[in-house]
Amino acid sequence: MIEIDARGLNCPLPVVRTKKALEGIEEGELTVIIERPEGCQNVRRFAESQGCGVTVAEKDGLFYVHIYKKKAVKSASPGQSKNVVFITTDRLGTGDRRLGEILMKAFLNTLWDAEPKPARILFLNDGVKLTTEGSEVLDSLKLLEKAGVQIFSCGTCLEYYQLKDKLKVGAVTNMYDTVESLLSADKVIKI
Amino acid sequence: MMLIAGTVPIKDMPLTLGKVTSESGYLVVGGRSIPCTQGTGAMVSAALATTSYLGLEAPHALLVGDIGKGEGSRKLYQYLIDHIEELSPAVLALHYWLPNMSQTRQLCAAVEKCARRPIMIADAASMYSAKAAGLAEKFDIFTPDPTEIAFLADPEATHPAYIARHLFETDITRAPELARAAYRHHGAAKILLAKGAIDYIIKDGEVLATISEPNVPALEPIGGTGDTITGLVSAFAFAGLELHEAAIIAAKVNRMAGKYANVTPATKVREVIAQFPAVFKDYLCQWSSVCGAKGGRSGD
Repeated sequence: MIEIDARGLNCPLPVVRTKKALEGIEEGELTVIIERPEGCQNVRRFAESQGCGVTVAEKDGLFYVHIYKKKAVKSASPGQSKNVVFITTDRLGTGDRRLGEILMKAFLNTLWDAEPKPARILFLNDGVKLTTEGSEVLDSLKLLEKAGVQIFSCGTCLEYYQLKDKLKVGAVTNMYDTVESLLSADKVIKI
Repeated sequence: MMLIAGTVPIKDMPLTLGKVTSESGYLVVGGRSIPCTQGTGAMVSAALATTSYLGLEAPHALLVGDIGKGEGSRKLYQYLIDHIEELSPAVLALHYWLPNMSQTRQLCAAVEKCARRPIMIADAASMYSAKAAGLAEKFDIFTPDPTEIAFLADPEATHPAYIARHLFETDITRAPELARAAYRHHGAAKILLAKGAIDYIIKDGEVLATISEPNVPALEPIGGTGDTITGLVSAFAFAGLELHEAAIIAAKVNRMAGKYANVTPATKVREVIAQFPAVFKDYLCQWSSVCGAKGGRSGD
């Protein structure tokens, strides 16, 4: 297994080194050792954007980011598009709130069944309530994530609603990434 | 190792090789203090500020005094020719010296023998000699100003002072057209970072990026603010960034540091370099295509 010791390196270098290491292997595992939580998050986000599996362990003040690269993970799976679903609310439609919540659950369930699946789902504003503790759609979102769909929640929104510690699926993102995702998508579906 | 080689205008300074440190506003190489005013000193200072921030090994510098007589330059060339294989730098950044085409050819031949070919970056007179010797394409990055692009574009010229059709060329907006000519005539490195009121990053004749913001006109007359860009791009290349991205970020950092320093024509280049860490912290990750997070320093 490849080990990248990124202690003492400031961003973006841990990500640059991770990228080079991933480019150098067709498949396999690597571990990035990093000191700072933000750097850890950046490495994690990059690896996930490449379709890799990622787990993070914290020990003695250091983050160990374990990355698993499968063969040809970079290319979208056959059932996956480059479409982005942009969810800015926790319910579907503008009528009765409960009905909106039921419709949102049905929408995400159906999305998991559908082909091609979107490449990413971005949650913004009230949408982040769907990816955090207490959400009724966590199971659907976890299934979508398992199917290779990247799930991202807006960091500012999580902080605003004091939900940062309650994120249960996917990763945190920022406006830079959000804009980049929207601009590079084949199609953006806004909910 | 990143190795920066060039002359400094200090009479009788012997050939000096060492890892660079900074003390009281001076660069220290091999126990000798070098002012960070302009030229190679500014370039080395910029590279040192960048590697320090990123957490990388400090650059090594190979310096020699030369006040225009050429003796120091010849020693510098010869040392590199004789030792480049054992030094084996990851990045070799060349700056001021009295152009010598024959020794430039020998140096390029020596570089080709290295087990791992260094990333080759040239500015100023080392760029002139590379172009004049017909070896521009052996280099990865050139960092010309408007007059120097005109020189690279002129297949007959052997020095910017002898440009046939673009004498005292100063219009940076002609950079893309001149760069295309330079590539056509094999007078350009793989990437050109054309420095001016607008910065152009050009690869194989195509403009990859145009950087004009922030617009800080007062940077132009400050000596050394072109050299700092070369130091920045060298350090970013050493850090492992893709070369075109290293060039783009270098141009952005220099401009933003000028803005942060509230420069006037009287500002010293070291005051601009002093702003690099703040710019890195605020923008480096945001400008990097692989990171993209807001802010560069994790954990602050």
